[in-house]
Amino acid sequence: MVKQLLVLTIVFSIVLTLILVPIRFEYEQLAPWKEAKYNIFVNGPITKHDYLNVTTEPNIVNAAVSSYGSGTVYKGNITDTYIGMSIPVNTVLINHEMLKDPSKFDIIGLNHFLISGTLKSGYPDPGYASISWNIAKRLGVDVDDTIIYWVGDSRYEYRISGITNPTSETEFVAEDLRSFDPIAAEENYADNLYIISKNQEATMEYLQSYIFENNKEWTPTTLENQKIRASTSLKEALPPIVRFGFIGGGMVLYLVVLLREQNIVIDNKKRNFSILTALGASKTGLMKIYAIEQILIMVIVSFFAILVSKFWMYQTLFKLYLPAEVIFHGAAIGFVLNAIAVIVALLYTNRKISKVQVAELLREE
Amino acid sequence: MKHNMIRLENVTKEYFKPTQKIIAVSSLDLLIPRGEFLGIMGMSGSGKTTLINLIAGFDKPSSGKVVVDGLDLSELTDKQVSEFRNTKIGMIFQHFNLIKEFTALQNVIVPFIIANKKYSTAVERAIKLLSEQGLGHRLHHYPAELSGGEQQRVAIARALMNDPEIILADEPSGNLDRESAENIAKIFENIHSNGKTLVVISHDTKLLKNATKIVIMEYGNLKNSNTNGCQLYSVDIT
Repeated sequence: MVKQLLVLTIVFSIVLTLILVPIRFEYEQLAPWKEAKYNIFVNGPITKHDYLNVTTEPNIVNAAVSSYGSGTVYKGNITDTYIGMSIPVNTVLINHEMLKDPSKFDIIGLNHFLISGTLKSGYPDPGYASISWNIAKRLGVDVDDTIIYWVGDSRYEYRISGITNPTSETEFVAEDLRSFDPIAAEENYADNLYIISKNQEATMEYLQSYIFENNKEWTPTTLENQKIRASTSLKEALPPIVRFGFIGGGMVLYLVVLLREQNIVIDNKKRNFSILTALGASKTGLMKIYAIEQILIMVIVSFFAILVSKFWMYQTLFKLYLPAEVIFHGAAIGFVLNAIAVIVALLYTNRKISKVQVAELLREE
Repeated sequence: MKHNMIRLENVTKEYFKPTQKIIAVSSLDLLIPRGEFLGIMGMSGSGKTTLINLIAGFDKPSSGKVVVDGLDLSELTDKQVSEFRNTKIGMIFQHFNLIKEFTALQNVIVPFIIANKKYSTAVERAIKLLSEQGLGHRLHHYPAELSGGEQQRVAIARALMNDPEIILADEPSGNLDRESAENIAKIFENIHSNGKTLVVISHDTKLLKNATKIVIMEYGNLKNSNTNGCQLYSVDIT
C-alpha cells in the first residue's frame, strides 16, 4: 500500500507538472492581452515631452507610460544572499493618487516588477518601492527590507514599502490608465506607452505622423495585433503537438503505471479475494471494497501529487519568470485527471477480478 | 427417512484447454442425505475436487443439475450463490487458506462480517469456537505464528462460524502430521455428531474412519456405481 502510494504520487506529480506547466504558460502569454483595456501600444523611448504632446490628441482618453529593464537581483541587506538570476525589473511611473489606493496595484502585470513609490507617504519616492507578492516570495523579503538591483551598471536601492497583491500576468500591461507625470526622478524616459483611444484608427494615423515628424524609433501596434503576435509566438514556443504530447504522453504514462500497480495489487490480493469468495463474499461486494480502497488512494495521491507538482511547478515557473499561482485550477485538473485514470483502472480491475479462478487458487499452496 | 441434503443429477463438467477437452465429472448421479458423513477417495484427476467445487457453487455443471438443500444452484444469481456459500457451506482446504494479514480471531470472524452480522456477537462466537478447538490462547496470533494443525483448526472454526449445514473439506489433513490429522478426525466426528452434513475428500482412511459412507471416484464418476446412479459405493475401511 505505501509503495503503491509512493509510486503513484511521484508519477502523478510528474504528469501533473507536464500537463499544468503548458496550461499555465499559455495563460500567462494570452491572458494579459485578453484583459488589457488599452487599444494602442507604443514601444520605444518616450520622453516627457513626447508624452505630453501625444496625450493632447483629441481621440486619446487616457494613457500611461512605463519602463523596464533587466538586472541582477540581491535578496536584500538582511542576508545579502546572492540569488544568481536575472529577472525583469520594471519601474512604472505612477502618480501619488494611485499610491494612495493600494487596490490600484492590481493593474495587470505591474506586480511582477518593482514599482517605485511608497505606500506610506502616498507620494513617489525613489528610496522606496512597492513590489509584487511574487517577487517578495521569490526574494524572501518583506516590508521594510531593502532590495538592491542593477540595470546595467546602475545600482538601485529600495526599501520595500509595500507588497502588492499577486496576479497572474507577466506582461506589463497597464489596465488602469490615467494622466500622471511620466518621468521619475531617476529616469530620462520611459519605454512603453499605453493608450486608450476612442478612435483607434485616427490615433494610429496621428502617431504615425508624429513618429515621422519627430524622427522617433517607435513601434505602434493595436491590441488586436498584439493578441495575434502573442498567439503566434505561443504557437512557436509551445506548438499544439508538443502540448498534446505533454498531456497525452503524461496521461498514458500515468495510466500505464497505474495499471501496472493495479496488476501488482490484484496479484497480491488474488488469493485473499478467492478466500473471501469461498467464504461467501460476492465479486460485486469485493469490487466495491476494492473500489473504495482505490478511490481513497486516489484522493491521497491527488492531494500529495498536487503539493509535489506545485513545488515542481514553482521551480519550473520560477525559471520561466512565471508566478506559481496554480493551486485551484491545478487541484481541480489533478483530481479530474486522476479520477478518469482511476475509473479506467477500476474497469480493468473489475475485468481482471472476474477472471480470477477461485477454486484453482484455493488449491494452490 | 432422511431428507436429501445434496443431489447431483446426471452432472457432467467439462473443461476446455487450448488443445483438448477434459471431462472432470461425467454423468454423475449422487444423493447425500442430511447428516451424512461422506468420504470421497480416488486418484488424482478422478474429479473429486471438481465434485466439491460443484457442490460449493464455485463451478457450474456443463450439464445436469446440482441441488443443495432444495436450491438448484444453476438457477441462482452470483449474489445468491455467494449468500448460499456464506450461510449453508463451510469450506476447509488442504492449505488452510487463512488470510495471512488477519489474526486467528479475525480470520474466524470474516464469514460473520460478510453476512452483515453484529461484530460483537461475531467476536463472542469466534472466541467460543476457537476455544473449543483448543486455540483460546492463540486468538491474536497470525497464521504464520501457528503450526499447521493449529491453522487447520482455525480454518475449521471459520467454517463453523455461520453454523452451516454442510461442511466441505478437500484433503484437510494433506498438510498435517499424524497427530494433527487425528485431532482433525476427532473434530469431524464431533461436527458430524452435531448433525452436520460432511463431505470430505481424503486419502487418509483414518480421517474417514467415522464416515457413514465412502465413495471412490474414478474417471469423473463413482467407481462401480450402479445404473440407478443414486446408490453409493461403500468401502469397508476396517
